[in-house]
Amino acid sequence: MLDLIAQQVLNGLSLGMGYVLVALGLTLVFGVLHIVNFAHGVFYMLGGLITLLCVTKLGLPLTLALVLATVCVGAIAYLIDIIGVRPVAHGPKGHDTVMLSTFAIGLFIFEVTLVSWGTAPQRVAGYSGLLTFFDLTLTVHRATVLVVGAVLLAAIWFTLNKTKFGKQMRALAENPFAARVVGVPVERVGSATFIIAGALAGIAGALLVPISLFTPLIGQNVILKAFVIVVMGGMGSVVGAMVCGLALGVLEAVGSIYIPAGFNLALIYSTLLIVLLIRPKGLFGGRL
Amino acid sequence: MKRQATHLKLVAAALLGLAGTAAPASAQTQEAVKIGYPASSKILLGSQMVRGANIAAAMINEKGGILGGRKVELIHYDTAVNPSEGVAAIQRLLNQDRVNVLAGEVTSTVALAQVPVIKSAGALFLIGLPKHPDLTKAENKNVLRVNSTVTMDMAAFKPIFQERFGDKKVALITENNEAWQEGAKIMRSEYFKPGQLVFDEAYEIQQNDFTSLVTNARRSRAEVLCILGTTPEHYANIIRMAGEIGYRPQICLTPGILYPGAVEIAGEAAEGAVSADIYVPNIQNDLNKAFVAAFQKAHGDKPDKAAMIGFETVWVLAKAMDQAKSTDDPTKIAETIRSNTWATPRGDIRFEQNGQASGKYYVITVKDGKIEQWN
Repeated sequence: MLDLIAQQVLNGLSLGMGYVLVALGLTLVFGVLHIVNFAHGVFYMLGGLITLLCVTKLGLPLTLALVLATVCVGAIAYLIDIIGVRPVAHGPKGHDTVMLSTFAIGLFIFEVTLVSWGTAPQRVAGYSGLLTFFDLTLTVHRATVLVVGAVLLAAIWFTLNKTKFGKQMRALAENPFAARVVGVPVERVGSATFIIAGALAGIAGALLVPISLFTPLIGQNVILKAFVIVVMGGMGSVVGAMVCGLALGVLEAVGSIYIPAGFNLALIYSTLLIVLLIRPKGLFGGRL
Repeated sequence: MKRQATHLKLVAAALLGLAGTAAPASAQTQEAVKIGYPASSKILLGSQMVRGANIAAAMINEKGGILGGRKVELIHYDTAVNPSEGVAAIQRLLNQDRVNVLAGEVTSTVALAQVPVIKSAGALFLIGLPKHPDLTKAENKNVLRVNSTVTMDMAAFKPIFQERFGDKKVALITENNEAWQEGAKIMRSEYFKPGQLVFDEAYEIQQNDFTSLVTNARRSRAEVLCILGTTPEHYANIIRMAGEIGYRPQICLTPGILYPGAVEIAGEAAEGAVSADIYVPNIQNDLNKAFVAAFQKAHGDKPDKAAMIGFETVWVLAKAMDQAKSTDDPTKIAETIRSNTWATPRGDIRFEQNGQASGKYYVITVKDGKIEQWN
């Protein structure tokens, strides 16, 4: 039984890293800009779509497709920032309006993709191969998700804590008015944060589409769990998203040994409820 | 939920144009016969079913329509695999569009919520893909169905299963909805010898990563993996993920769910999978040849069972309205459907008194990445 538990912990870590990658951008935008980006699921979907197009239509290698998907979704996030975030964010009830504008833009992109691409699920071949060690197995692609996820987490941590830009982000998160007074280029840092969050969702979609298949609905499917992780970890907390994403993945995988898979969502939401009852601001609330 | 009638009209018009035939003048001047078509069209099965329904409407209109030249027009609303959306679509069709002849739908969960609303309105519903046995009952006179039920499937598949898999240990993985849980119940009680079923688990349609599930199935040392589920997005991914972790059991898919798209997704791991279905595209009759040709022309691929079901719903309804000489008397149209034999792409079908269509089964398997009839 121990070998099965160990295998499921490994499965859970790879599953959880996928959750972390999706939740990371969402929590970053909330933590720094104090807005909820409802187009985040669409960024994820676009990451998957661009990867699919690059690999199956253009015949590009997956690694190049991952890079292109990340860059393209970052660029799309920049456009959405210009069109749907900046013009409304500083108006009356700006944060509420951003929720609506990102929701509308997300819906528009989703519908356009659905109409132009169709509903048929499409497969993208991931990195092939199976790693085996001490009777534990992990596909090479899932191992890649784990490694890339860990590298991205380290990069985000380093950026936030060790760079000038990170300090500016934290200043903006703390108090936008005070940040502006001390010379932080608030608009530029805000846009950069939005682009980074979009790129993170893009690379998440690109990395996970070989696992989940591509349909225009993939963004909607993952975003719900991403919100659960962000709320559980504390809205705006990068550490919270990381810990809760990985923990949720492991909980789901190990839980599958003892609890019927049909209760999977019930397990997730009851965990969220317990966390919110004990710590209403989430496990790591208040810290970026 | 979104009205797509205009879009459907354009598709039908395009198909007519492609066929190079103009409809008779009478069909262009008389009021169209409207058929409400609720379906979860953002998933593969639903979109295929709606495509098939459009082909039927286009073919009927191309031949001059029904009732002396009236065109058939579909009013489609997406029901998003959601019972409340499904009920809202029905209410909109009944109250806003004033349609009382309806067809379609994909999942039993949605259809089970819709039927009471349709029954209380006295409307007619020719159900498409949903398989739950309780949807068609003798007391629901105006509710009929073209697809087979889970009960019919299980009865037809039992000898195939026993011949193909014998006493081998089985892992049963079931989509968590009413119809498939009913099917799993039948399998548990009628298919297996004591100790043969070594793994029995359900999955949710919100899931997209099944590695933990197939890891547990592998642990059970089952030699056969039997899956009961509606959408290829899910069951094909289960087969693929089992293959990815090196678990290669024989695959058994319950009747009616093996689609070409699923084989593509599952890849090599689906090789040798066994199933059965009420339709294969190479059935030799004139209507099927015309349907397959029209579908290929419009969509570039052969129709699957979901597309045929979509075609059949509209084809049978339109022909029945024509024969009953009525478009707004649901009871008369339902009675006409029940009391006649209907030529459809899969051959002649008849409806039982409880509204359920009969159907012949074909055993199918995956060979060299293609679905073939199994002799």
